[in-house]
Amino acid sequence: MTIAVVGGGLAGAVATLALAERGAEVVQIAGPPGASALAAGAFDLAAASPGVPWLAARDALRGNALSALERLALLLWEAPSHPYARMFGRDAAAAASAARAGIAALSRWLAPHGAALQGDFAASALLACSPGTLRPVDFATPGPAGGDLSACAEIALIDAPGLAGYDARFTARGLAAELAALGLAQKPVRIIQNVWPEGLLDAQPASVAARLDAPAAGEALARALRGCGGAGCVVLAPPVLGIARTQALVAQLAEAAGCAVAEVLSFPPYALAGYRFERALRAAVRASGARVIDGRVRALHAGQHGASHELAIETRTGAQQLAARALVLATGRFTGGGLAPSDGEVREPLLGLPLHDAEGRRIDGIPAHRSVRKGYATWQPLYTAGVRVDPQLRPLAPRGEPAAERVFCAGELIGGFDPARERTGLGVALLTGLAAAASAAQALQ
Amino acid sequence: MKRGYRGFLREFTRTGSWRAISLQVRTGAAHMLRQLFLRRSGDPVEQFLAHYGPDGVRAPDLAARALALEASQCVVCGLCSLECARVGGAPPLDPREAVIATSRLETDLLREGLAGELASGAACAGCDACSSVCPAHIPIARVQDRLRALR
Repeated sequence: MTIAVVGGGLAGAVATLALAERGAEVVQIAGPPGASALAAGAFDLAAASPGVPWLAARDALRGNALSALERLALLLWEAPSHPYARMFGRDAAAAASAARAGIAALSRWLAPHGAALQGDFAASALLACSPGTLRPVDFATPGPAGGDLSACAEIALIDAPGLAGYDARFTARGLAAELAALGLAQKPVRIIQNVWPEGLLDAQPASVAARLDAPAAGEALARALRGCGGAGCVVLAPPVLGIARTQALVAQLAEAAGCAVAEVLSFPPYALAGYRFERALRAAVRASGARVIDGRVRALHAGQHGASHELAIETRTGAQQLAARALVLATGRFTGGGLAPSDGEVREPLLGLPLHDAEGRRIDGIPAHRSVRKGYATWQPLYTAGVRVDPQLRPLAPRGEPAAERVFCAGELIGGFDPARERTGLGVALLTGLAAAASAAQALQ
Repeated sequence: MKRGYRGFLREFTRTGSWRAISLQVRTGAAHMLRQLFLRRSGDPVEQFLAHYGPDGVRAPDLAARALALEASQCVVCGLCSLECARVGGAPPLDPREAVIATSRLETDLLREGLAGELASGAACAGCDACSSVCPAHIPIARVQDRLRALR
């Protein structure tokens, strides 16, 4: 009674972990990482409201914040096409309990690998991004998690001359401007110079992070930071604090500095938060005992009338076949390859599922450029494109009936929302991954 | 409006700068004189490559072109660079930059001296850790090989 999970991102990993925990026989076809490895290290369930994406963020910055669960409830009413609304309707209590259970499960799985999420449903943290902008964040990975600036008395930035994608002075100027623009109390921002031990710093963020994984290098940096903080100070570091032992390194630096130390939020290849998050997920899946195939699904034949699904998988060592009784599709969108261009159109390559945008229009079968609108501030139908699902997360055929038996979708493959604009990408991956696992297990009972 | 050469000349003199026009005329005249008096016998392709080789022009290579097309699928995420650093690789060219470079014209690479930079320095070990994390399925080790082979 094998269940196959296709996809190596957050949704696929969560579905695999949930199924393994239930004792199901599960195989994950992981392949290369998808969009969740490109995350900045912040984890939002529902960051912004879909109509005015910046409004909720700005409100939070002004201290007039809605909590994560209030924003989630708002989203259920405002965006009927959003996967949250597909799963929970307008039942805010059900959404809230699923969110709590989801965060608890993810933290439990990631904790042994030093990557447990830190955060609080009651209040969001205010984290600094590398251009000096501020971002309210519900949960964060260990690197940036300690950098909450909402209550700090002073900000100190670690200078890293020559490091690509990071400039302490630029960030400091941005932070001062952002605090002023938002009408928040100004805080002194200073720069800590000459902290890098000899031979540790160069232009490549990834090499600096790899060197910091050596305990001796971490100790040397901690010695240089000794006593540079103070009461109420937050020390912001470039987003390169190690690859494998970030949590321990941040704790070591914070103890030496005498205050909170955190990475600024940035993206690969200048930051490693998403990459670490993805590696921790893979380690958790390996530890769960689930079978993992490193490859990609070349062809998928969905079984009908109770027959098994047949998957043709291409791996580095050759091709292999897999039969599965149920299937969780977590192939993502454009980064993960769940949606792929084909002759100027966008298609779902494995099952040819129909794709819809947030307003319910079909977008496969028409030229992709017709799903793009002029203007930066407007929403883009192409970025909301994906598979339509029912509350059990079964993909729907054009007329609204399930398109295949015992197939369930998770993550960004599900359309009707813009993961970047609404900043719900990781939250959707988590909640739909868990729900798809539950549906798949139930379908086989 | 006049047609033909005189019409062209009138348009050209009205829109172009005198410096551009004189350069055009001088190059044209030099080309005609070379064709008349300095014409060498031999394989025209070799002659062409001998003439334009220093500018980075090479005979077309279909395999390289196919690889460049694959490399043009790059989404510039940089995961290959992170994986390379994690496994302790030290290639002369960062994998992400290598992929971006390959999707460009070889002519540009040769003219900018990138090929020489690759020939020196420590070599990529070819462990292929980079392509295992590539969301666009680009064979990055082959891209590095191709760049090293560029002369």
